[in-house]
Amino acid sequence: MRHWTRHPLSALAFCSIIAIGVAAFFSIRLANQAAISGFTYFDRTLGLRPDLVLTSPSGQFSENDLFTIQDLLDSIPCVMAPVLETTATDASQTEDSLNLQQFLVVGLDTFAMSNLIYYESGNSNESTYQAWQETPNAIQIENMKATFGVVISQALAAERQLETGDLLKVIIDDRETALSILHISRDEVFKVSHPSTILFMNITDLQEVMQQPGRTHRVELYLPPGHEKNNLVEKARGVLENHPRWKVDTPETSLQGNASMTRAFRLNLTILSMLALVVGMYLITQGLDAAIVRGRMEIATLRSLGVTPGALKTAWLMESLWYGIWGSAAGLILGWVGAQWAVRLVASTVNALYLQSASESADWNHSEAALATGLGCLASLAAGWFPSRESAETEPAEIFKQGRQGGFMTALNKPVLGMGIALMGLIAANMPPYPDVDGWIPIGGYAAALLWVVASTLIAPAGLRWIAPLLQPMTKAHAVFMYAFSQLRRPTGRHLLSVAALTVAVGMAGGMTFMIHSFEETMNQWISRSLNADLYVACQGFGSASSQNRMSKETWQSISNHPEIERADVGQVFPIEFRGRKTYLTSMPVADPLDWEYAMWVDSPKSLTSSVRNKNLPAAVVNESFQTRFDTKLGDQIKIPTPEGNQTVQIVGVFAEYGNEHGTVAVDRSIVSDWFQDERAVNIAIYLKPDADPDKVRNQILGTQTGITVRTNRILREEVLEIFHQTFSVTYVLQWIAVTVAIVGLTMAMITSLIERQLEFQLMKNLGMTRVRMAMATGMEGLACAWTGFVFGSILSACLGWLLVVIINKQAFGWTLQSAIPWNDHFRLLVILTVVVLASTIPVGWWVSTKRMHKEE
Amino acid sequence: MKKHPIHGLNPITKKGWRHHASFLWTLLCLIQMLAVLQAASKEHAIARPGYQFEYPRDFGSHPEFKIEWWYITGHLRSEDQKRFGYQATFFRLASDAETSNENKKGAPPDLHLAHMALLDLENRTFYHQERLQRSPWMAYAKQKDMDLKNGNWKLRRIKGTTPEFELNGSILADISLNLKFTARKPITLFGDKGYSRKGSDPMAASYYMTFTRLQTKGELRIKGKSFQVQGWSWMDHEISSSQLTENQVGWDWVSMRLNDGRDLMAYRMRTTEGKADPFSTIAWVDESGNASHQRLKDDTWQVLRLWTSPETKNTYPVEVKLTLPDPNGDAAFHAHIVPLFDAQEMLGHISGIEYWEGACDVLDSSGNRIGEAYMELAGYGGESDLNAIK
Repeated sequence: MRHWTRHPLSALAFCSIIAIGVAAFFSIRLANQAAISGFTYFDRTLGLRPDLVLTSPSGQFSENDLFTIQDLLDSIPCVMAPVLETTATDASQTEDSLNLQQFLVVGLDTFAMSNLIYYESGNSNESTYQAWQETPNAIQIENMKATFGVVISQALAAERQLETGDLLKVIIDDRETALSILHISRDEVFKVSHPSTILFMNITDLQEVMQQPGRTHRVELYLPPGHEKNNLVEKARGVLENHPRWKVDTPETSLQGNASMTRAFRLNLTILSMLALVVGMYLITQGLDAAIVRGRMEIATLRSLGVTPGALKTAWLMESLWYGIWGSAAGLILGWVGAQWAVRLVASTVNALYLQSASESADWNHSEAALATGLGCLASLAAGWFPSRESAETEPAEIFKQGRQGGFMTALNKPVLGMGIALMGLIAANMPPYPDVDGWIPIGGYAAALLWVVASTLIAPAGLRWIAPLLQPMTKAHAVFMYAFSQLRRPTGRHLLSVAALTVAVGMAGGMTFMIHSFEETMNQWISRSLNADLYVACQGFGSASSQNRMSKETWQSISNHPEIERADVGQVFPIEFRGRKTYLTSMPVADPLDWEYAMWVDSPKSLTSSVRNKNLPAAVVNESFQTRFDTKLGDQIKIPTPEGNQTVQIVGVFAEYGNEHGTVAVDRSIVSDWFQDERAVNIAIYLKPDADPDKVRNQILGTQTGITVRTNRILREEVLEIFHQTFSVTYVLQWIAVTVAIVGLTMAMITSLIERQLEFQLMKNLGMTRVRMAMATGMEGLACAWTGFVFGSILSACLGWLLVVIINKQAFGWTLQSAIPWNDHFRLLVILTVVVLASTIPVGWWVSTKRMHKEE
Repeated sequence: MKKHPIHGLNPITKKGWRHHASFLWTLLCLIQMLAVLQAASKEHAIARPGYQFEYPRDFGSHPEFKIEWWYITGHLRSEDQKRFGYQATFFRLASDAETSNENKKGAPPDLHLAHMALLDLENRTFYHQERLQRSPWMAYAKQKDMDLKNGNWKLRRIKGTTPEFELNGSILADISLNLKFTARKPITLFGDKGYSRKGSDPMAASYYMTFTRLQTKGELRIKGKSFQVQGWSWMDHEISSSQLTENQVGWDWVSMRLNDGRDLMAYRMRTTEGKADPFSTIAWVDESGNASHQRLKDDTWQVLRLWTSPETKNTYPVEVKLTLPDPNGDAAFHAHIVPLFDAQEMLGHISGIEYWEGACDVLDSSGNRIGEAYMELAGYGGESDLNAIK
């Protein structure tokens, strides 16, 4: 505790570093969890989870399926609750953005679910009565036939100043619908807030609104409580399993399905969120070493007095642990607060790319908190391990002898070993991916990334020695340079560690930037080649994979018949489950793929030899992701699940597409509509006649239709890129946290190093060096370290970027991306790094040079 | 009379409820309430005198009426003489005007409410559960013959010449009942050849048919343990569109199976003044199933003991004495109704209707056991309960 009392600021700094690292990790974990568990919101509110969940590979159940399920269950007591979900947009929103906030509308069989009152112990009776008390509000609703009841959250009521009995106008599909607010759910203390974006309706009402009578997306089964419950669950599973029309899941496996869907995204975020903690470890190691250096005399004395090395080591480790505990505690608080903010960013990305998430706040999670605390303490202990061992195992005489150059940190200066590890990384990068339930895991790629980060830690510190000869001519130019760069010829462990930390931070952050930039360039190319229509029509709010808004046949036919329109490609999308994994069935704009003028074919339909083509089967084209995930090739015959059973199609082409990572299989629209008995469209791509004015036609369409948006080609491209950037918004934040921690670390290293060299500074002053010059010299020294770290970090970033683009993305998602180096981002980082390092080290140099030496020194 | 109508599942106001209710229940009940209210206001057929009953058609559902229920209770004994009492009731509530929407695609189907209860006398435990369904795949009441379903609860007639029926039921995970019934008396029509008036309003009437003696055999399963049981049951089927009049606040009803071969049904419609409505009735059923009726007066039904529910705080007159003229002689008939167990209260978790429905013994004035009974006490939950009943 002596260090705490004597150096409270540095103790505080260590704790802060751990806190930032733990906070970043914890907040992202909570936000991830909240975003993917948004769909289980209802279960969590209820406090009950279904015992079994039936999902259909075709994504929907018919009414006949429900009768069949009930017949099979026969004597098994259970509550069978069909659920229908869709999205809706707020009709009062005038914003015309692809990224418009959407409501998740959940349709429930409220009668069936009211039977669950027996399944919840404790407050069920009271709850029901309270609900009944509210009914007079329902009676007051006028014109009940015209409106449907809805239950909204307190958050939405507050946001929109709505009260029970008010009307909420929303657009479901392409129709404006007035929903009468039956009830406003109140948030409970210490429970997750009900999101403002979730609406509950009766399933039959929702079916009516959607004009989809009898449609159900999933069926939840709740078995009653009691001693026999497990037997009943198994019995129900037994009678329902192995049916071709559905799959029997538990909520856990269902959640895992969604989790695996977003696995790659969440893994990337988790790794990034640990970056700050990893970089922080370098800093704490360095800080503890500084403390040990300061306390060497004391350690030597203690050793001479007979204190065992083990006791000394334990003392230092205890100190590290204290930093870990306090830092983690602060990190948990910061992280929880951060998660409430991060969850919106993560959820918006999940919405845009994967599935509808209604999460707006993150729930506290004990196991995640324990994990984050564990990591914080572990990082702190690991950081303190080498310094404490150093302090304990060195003989007293050695301690006096070593001076400030000594210490384990010089062990970082192992470039040859680093090269060897880097080579191992290269071998790992070429390993084949590991097959997983939901696709491929590029374990070789991840291993290579780890090995290269370790390698860079060992190589980069040597860079200080390597640049010293390069700077030799400058040392003759001025005493400032001479003094500054003389430090680099014999760098202290602290210099080495700062460079290593900065290299890792710049390398990992830069690698992600490399990947994002490459992705963006590829997207740009794809957009410019594939988005060629003049106008794009979609339902309001349709801008993401999660949107379920659809245009009625009447609407898209009416639009297509506009006299100025030459051609209208009507698009349909059906989420399906193929070979146990989620993917999408879409419509092709043409009946024959040979007629499809698509610019980015990977394997054109023309390349399929006619002898392989089975003319009796519908033709299908798949995108690269589909091909990679399901290991298909041209000519393969695959079975597509539909509400009427499996339909066999033949793959005749593969196209490049970056809309989703789950894969797309496209079949002629008329065939798809027939299979699903659904002619609603997700969008229309309109090609105008040569002399038509896009804006004029757009306005004419908007004048006749409601609930839709019409975008010109330029606006659509801009909005697509806007969503793309929003998708990576969390990534950017995490990158900057890591780089900031590294820069702070470098500054701390400089301060520590300069304080340790006070005697040297005094000597320089006595020799006539001015304070300005000394300050300048420290600035130069810091800059040299920063630039060294930046150079090696840039090399690392290029390697990691290549790994992400060429190996990991290709193996995990099947996307072929074109590498593009983000020069501008790198230059910006260099400028910021330079300014920050100079701005922090020069004042420190000034301050140290003004300090008077302690008498004892 | 038996099993009151549920004229829309109306709100209950209960003071002092804790306000920590979960969002779910509020949501569910509100949404379903709206649906019920939307369908509650139209005209339905009403029971009229002179109706010609026809079987098995009239065992089945009558969708033109607003409400209809099938009620079956009984006393059972296991092979080792353990005593059980049970109740199963299936309600159908029309959600549309003239006819039910059963089997009409696209129209809102009927509501199906059901109650199931079991008394395990040895363990002094009363199990009960209520169910509400609207989806046609979960529940139905078929026309033309008795075939009822509410989840895995089923009551149906077994095809054949002798009236035989089958009940499959359960209470949560641990209780199941599988019983078969054979009628040992022909069907009894209460009131005027099945037309049963319940109040001064001519609309307050029902068609009322009953099997008073059903020999019962089957299996009970309680917490993994099976019991082969046999005994006697009573089954009502009542069809109506309106029963209670404005001045009625509830009723006390009892069915008795006497050891001398006769059966007795009595109900006391309670008025706001606390008196028996003039339409309160006693019906004797002879060995042939023929019913003879007497008016039930205030002094016929004497309350001997009250029981207050620890759950609802409602107070029920669970032990009563009936004194009435015996059609077989000049002496008065004394029936001392003693509940086998006091806490046989149905809590109405879903519908909000709290009532007492329990297995009882019938003792004579000397304390000898002369039969078995099932008694129902409704409308003791205060104004809110009355609203729910009405």
